Amino acid sequence: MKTILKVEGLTKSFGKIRAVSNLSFEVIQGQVVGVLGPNGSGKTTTLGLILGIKFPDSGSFQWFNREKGPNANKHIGALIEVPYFYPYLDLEKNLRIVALVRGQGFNDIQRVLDVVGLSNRSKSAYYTLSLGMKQRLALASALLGNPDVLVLDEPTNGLDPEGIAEVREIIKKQSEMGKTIILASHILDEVEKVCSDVVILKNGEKIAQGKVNELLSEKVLASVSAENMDALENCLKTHQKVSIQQVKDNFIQISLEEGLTTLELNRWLIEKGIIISTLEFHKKSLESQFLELVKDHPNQK
Amino acid sequence: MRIARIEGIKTWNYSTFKVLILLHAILFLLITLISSNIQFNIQGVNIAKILHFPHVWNTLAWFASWFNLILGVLAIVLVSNEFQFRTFRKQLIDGLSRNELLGGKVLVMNLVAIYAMLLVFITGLIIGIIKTPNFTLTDLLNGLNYLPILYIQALAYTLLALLFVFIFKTPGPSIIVYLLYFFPIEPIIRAIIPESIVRFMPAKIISKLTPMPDFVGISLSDMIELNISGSDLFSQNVSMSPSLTVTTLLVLLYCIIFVLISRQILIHKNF
Repeated sequence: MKTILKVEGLTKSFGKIRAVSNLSFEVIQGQVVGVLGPNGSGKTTTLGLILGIKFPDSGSFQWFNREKGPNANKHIGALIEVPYFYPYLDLEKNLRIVALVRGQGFNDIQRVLDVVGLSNRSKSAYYTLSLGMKQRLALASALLGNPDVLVLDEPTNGLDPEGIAEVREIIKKQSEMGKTIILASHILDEVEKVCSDVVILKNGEKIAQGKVNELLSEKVLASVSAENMDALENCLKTHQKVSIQQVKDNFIQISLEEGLTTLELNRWLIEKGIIISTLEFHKKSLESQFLELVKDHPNQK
Repeated sequence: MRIARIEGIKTWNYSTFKVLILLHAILFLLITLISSNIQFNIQGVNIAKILHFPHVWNTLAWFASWFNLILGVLAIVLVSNEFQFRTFRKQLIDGLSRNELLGGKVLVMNLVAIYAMLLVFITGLIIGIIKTPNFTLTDLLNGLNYLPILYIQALAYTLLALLFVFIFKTPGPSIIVYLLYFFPIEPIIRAIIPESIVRFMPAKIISKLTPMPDFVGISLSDMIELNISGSDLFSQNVSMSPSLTVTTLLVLLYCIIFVLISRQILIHKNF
């Protein structure tokens, strides 16, 4: 597999604030990599650095195993934060500028406007668009010329639920076409639904990296209680597919590994002679997992 | 060519650009019109001669130089837009280099300066043909060197504006500092520093390119020509004196310096 992007020890400070700190990761062709982190964790700065609009204090990056430079950017469709266009120009003229900048013809403009559902507004001035439409135009601009690599920063920003679903669908289709996508987002759900891999950032540092389904899988959580709580706790400790999360006065919170159902657990406890009074199960939200990941990280400054 | 097309779409469809260019042209034409209708006679001094070939070129270049600040403000508006709309940033992301960003703007400034030159050329040609009683082709061509000089002057004005906007980014401070630089910042500096340097200060030297026509000299030139053959007074105003050549080259040097400083700022800028 070809390496699309290699980032090594990237560091960038703004004054005293370290926006990105010694960041390294690699993106392989065809991967959909989510860059996940809370607001201010350095996602946008990282993308700004790899797109060459900001200069790193130290570290390096390489696109397509080649020297960096503006020419690499011509093969990358990028959408950074909020859309930037000329307000007085209509959509088609704005995209013409993009096409010229990237050294393409104008023949792809109609297609990308169709993809994002803006073809009926192609002659409207940009400033007349709603925020959601502007965001779609930015996506159209990223898709222009069918680039093999997409760098998307909060692509669903400012969209309504319908728009969010549509944009995710577009991104999914792009990934099915074999495109390499780097997607920055603070929305876990988005990363989980769209990405294959994830890099988690906090305060500019990488705190976790891996496959989305390994790092962010949804575990089944349950709360159990019984008359004899101590016996229950001791018994649960012996089960291999159960891990105790929290012991409270009147219930114990546990997580179940995949494959173990609450029914089986109940049956097993009865066999051990423990009659449970309540067994409540709920799925642990991705958000709480993510918060745990972020909270547990020792590198807090 | 690609850069030219990009700048073309951006600039040509921008109504403020058209308004400022139109304002510039109208003000210039108005002044020219007024000057051509002035009847001014003191003791045989006939002011109308300033609009005859070849003096018309000097006169109109001088008129045009009054409005160069409009072109400078236009330059600031065009470039600060790119910062305001963050389109410089977008174009870097989409694959333009920082040098290409600057190159596009320098190209636009050149075209604006060429416009100023053409405006004076066409107006001068029409006014000269109408006003000059009888003229030879030599008369017509004699003062034409004021056209490239005006071009360089307009270029210097717009490129200095470009430098200010790269420093300040937003239109407000850029325009204020730019206008204040010509008056009173540089005049104050000139009052403090030694005379030998004063001559080389940008605003001073740029304004020296299009000197005020010597009204009296031109008006009296007929008489002088009658009395003294090959009058000095006459030739000084028309042909390019050595000092004007040197001044032009110095202003050209300033233009290059403005672009180089702008480039240094842009190349190290985080967007």
